[in-house]
Amino acid sequence: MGTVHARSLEPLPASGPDFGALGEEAEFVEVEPEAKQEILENKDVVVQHVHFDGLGRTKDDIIMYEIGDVFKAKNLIEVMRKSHEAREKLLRLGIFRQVDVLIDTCQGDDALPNGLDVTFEVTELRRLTGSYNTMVGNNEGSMVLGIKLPNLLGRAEKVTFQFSYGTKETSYGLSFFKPQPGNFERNFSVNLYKVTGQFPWSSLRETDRGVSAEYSFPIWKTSHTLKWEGVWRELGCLARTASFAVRQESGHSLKSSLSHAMVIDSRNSSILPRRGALLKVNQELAGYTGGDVSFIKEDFELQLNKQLLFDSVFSASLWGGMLVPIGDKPSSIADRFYLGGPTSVRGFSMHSVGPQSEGDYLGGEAYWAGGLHLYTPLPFRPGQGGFGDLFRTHFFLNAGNLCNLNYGEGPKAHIRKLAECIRWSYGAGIVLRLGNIARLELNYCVPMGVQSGDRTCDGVQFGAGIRFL
Amino acid sequence: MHRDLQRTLRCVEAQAGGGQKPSPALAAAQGGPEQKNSWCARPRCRAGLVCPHLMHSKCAFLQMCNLPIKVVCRANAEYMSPSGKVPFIHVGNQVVSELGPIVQFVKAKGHSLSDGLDEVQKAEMKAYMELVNNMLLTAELYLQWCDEATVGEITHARYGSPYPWPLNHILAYQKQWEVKRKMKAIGWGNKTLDQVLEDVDQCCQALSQRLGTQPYFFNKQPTELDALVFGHLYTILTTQLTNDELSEKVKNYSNLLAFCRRIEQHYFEDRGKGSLSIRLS
Repeated sequence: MGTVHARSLEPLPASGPDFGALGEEAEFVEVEPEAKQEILENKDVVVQHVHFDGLGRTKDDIIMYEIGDVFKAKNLIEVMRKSHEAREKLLRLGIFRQVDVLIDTCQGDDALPNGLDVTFEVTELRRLTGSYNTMVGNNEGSMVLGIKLPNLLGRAEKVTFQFSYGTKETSYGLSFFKPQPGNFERNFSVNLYKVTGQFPWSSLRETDRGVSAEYSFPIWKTSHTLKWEGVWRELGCLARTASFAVRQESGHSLKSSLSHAMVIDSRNSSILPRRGALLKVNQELAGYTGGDVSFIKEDFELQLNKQLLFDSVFSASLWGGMLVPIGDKPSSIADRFYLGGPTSVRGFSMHSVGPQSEGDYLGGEAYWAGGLHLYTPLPFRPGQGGFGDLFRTHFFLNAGNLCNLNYGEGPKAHIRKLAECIRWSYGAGIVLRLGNIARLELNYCVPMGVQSGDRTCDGVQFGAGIRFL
Repeated sequence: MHRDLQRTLRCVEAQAGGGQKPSPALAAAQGGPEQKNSWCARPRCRAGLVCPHLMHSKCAFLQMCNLPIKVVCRANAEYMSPSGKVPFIHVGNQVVSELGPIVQFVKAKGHSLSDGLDEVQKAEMKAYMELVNNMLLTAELYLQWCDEATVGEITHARYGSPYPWPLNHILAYQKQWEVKRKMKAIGWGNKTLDQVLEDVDQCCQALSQRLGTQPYFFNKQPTELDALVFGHLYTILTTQLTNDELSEKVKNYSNLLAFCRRIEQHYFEDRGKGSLSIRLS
């Protein structure tokens, strides 16, 4: 009798949670026609055995969860579909480099006439993988070394270590990730990090040494994350000419906070989506588990996309946030929000909107920002079907405001304060999509509603990043 | 002379708070003839140890120059200072730290205490100031951070007091390691407490001999040297440590004691603390 091969696709990245994004490009299984064709779809079959070839350190129980559904298939098409789904789930675990599925009839003494054997041929990832990159950005060059230990103890645990050595600053981070066997969406991770950043718009240098523990779980269509984070923050001035307001923030502080984030994402892609919506809501409470910084912080992100005629997409987004310090101490510059830049309200310099002192931007305790975008294919569609599809033309209208609120007054006063002195800008440009993670933009912007103290960047502005307004 | 003091606001941290760590108050100084806004920030702490000496030196100096100052205490004063040393002054939109630059800054504004000295005397003054800096300052640091008894009982707790756990321990250990490294670099790493006290004694002897029976080091007018010596000696005499040997060494020289008392009474008379006199009795 003929055999059915489920062909594997070209090598897919083995990073678990991100795998889903490439689903849209997956092919379905191929069936090789045999000389003697039978109508197989309606034939009842029973999956008798499922074999695994190539398991080394992976433990059996997590495999069992992922392939449990294959046994429930009743006819051949279902077997093929369920095997494909099981294959996707196995790849999502991030422990296999390659998974091939082989469906064959049962041989042997206990074989039923309609029995099938499904064999998964897997190749595990090596115990230790490393990566080396160089990065250039923000007037600094750095060398990034990454070490990953996938499937450390056999149940899809992962340990990653990343070390970044730059001309100015050095950062490193160690993280341990463990999913719940059988339920990859529920996972737990612990991170240890030291990150240094320089913020020339505020003449501030910040060094964070911290530890965080987070637990993610899905509820229906939403994904929730609960996190505790303890950070030792050290702030310093970047230059002797830093303003006194920033100089006053120098020193050490300890932040211990609990936060909860909820994400609902129905978009078909995270970069240049064509349809769907995204809602992210994040709240953070600091101070009740130790530390000397005490506040409640709330921020949200909303994005809606709709496809229009002629392959163009209309997108609307809204961001907002509020920081309420608890107690007498004023908020720290490291916790406040910032606005402006090529990834935020375009047309303004990076984080250069809002309260400032002698040219150093201090951030604000409340903000909102919104954008309306129209993405169209490049005019005359050069390189269509290939390279040209990575580019889009982009028309936008951005607006936003950042200020400090006087929390003694009521909500009407807050809304009034956020609605006065709105900064906005409009323009057009080109967007380039980088893989599935980042995008580059080159825009011509016209900033309007500029208040005294804001720094603008009218004309051509270049931006690269992951999260854009 | 600089007799009249027009202090507009005076808020000096009690107990010579200080030492090297923080406390949360900051006073700004309003000021003087040229409308200066002078902040003299220094770290404060509950137990108070060395480093108020620095504050006292600078406050004394500014008092002697007849410049109103306001002292503010802040937990992060050490980090706010552009050179990492406290105290520093904030005038208008300028920030100046350490006694040397402050003296220069004040001189540029037209106030100076050493105008009446000739070149030889100025050189002598500089030499004595160097002596005080090298000896007394280092001895104070040594006693604060390298003497295990003091560190355990007083310094550690005081240095970390403004911070929550575990930051208080981390920062105190970090500072101790830093100071020990500095001691080793200048050759004091292997000195015992007795040797340090011996050095202090010799320094006090030199100062006492120079002072003699005069009211100030350079006869009738106080100079930067007087301010500096006062700051250090006052701190040594008024700060509580696990052992009193350091202050005993100073008390051996009665003219130094009288000198300190004289300056305290003259320039800080309305402080109403009188702790110096209590200590001396």
